[in-house]
Amino acid sequence: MFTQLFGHFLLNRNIITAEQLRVALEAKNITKARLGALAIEAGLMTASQVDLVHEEQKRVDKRIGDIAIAMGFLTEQDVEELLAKQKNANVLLGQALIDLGYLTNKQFEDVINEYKEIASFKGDSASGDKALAKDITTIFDLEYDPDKDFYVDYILLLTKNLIRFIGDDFVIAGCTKKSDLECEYITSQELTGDMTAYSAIAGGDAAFINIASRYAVDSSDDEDTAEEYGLFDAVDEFVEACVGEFLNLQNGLFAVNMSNNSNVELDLTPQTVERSTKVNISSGLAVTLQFSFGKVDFIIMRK
Amino acid sequence: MKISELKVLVCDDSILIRKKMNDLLKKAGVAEVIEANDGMQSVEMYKEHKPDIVFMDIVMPLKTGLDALKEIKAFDADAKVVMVSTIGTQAHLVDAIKAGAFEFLQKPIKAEDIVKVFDKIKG
Repeated sequence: MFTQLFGHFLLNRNIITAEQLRVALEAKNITKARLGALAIEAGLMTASQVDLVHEEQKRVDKRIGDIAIAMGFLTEQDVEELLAKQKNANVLLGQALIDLGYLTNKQFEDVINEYKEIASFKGDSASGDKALAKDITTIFDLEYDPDKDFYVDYILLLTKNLIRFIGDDFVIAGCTKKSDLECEYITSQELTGDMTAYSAIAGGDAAFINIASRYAVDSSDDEDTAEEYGLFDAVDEFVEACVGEFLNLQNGLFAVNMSNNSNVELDLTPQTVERSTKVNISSGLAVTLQFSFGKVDFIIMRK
Repeated sequence: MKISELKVLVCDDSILIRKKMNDLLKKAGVAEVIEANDGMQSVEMYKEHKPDIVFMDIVMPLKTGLDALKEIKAFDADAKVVMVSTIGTQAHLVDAIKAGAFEFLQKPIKAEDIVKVFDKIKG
């Protein structure tokens, strides 16, 4: 979840553009976090110390960790712990932005420190769902919304399900409230029962094709079947069904949470698909997520 | 009854789920898989083909899976209908069992879920 929130911070502060972010998200998938960025994120080294170590590495044939130890910036234990976190998703977006030349080490140090100062969720084991809920409340301006808990719980679960079933190469890019949203493709489903709500996924060709392809593969526990699906090449009935099934899964799990945590029993209606339409976001919100393949809107409205 | 002799009816409005179930069932070795894409068609297909077992989605157009289950049980009290849903709440489970469901599975369905159902059929 750190990438999704940190990325939002970078966009919101105009530190990077939406296109730079999209490219970095694409690169993030094949990026490996290096020791320098990990040390900065962990607060063990400053950006100038990392730059000094990199300069030194041009002169001597030694690994970065060994040089940092020799220069007294890190202990052996620090290096071991940092290397163990090399696949740490928290740093991958930052590393990709540095590799692409969109941020220097110094800028990365400044923004990550600033972000950690204002955010509740800091990406460590100490910050959990409560911290995430607080940040979601702030980002989507839900503090005074009478249905705040409903929306925050829904968005929190959605973000987790996207990371689990679709991929973590996205950030929260913004939201739409009290206005119309133009939709090229939209699949929707209503939640009924003890309360009623409208939910939908809206996007263009790339959004639907990529979500469908990833969900079809991920939800298949059979390698042959997964391979057979591949990347779909056009939005058709099957692609729409895959996107609809992801929405159904999100709503089903949300209904289970509502039943367990709030004693609220919900049912779902069959999903419907429309093309080239406009949705009025009269209540609730449309959450815009920027994926490496494009933007997707997730709509949730209490009725 | 042997798995290789089973005729299975899969009822789901999602073409993705029907394809996935078809693949899983064929891999498990069943004799035949037939499909229905709404609740009304599920009942008609059951009456026409008399399958040995039915996998029935709950949320479907025209007729819900629960209503289809009740009609199938009224037609054939011995029908083995496995209810399948993304909503795995206690309330939904109780509704399904009360209506005569043979088993209740939560989506996404995995190969081991199918095996569990077949083991139950074999007793």
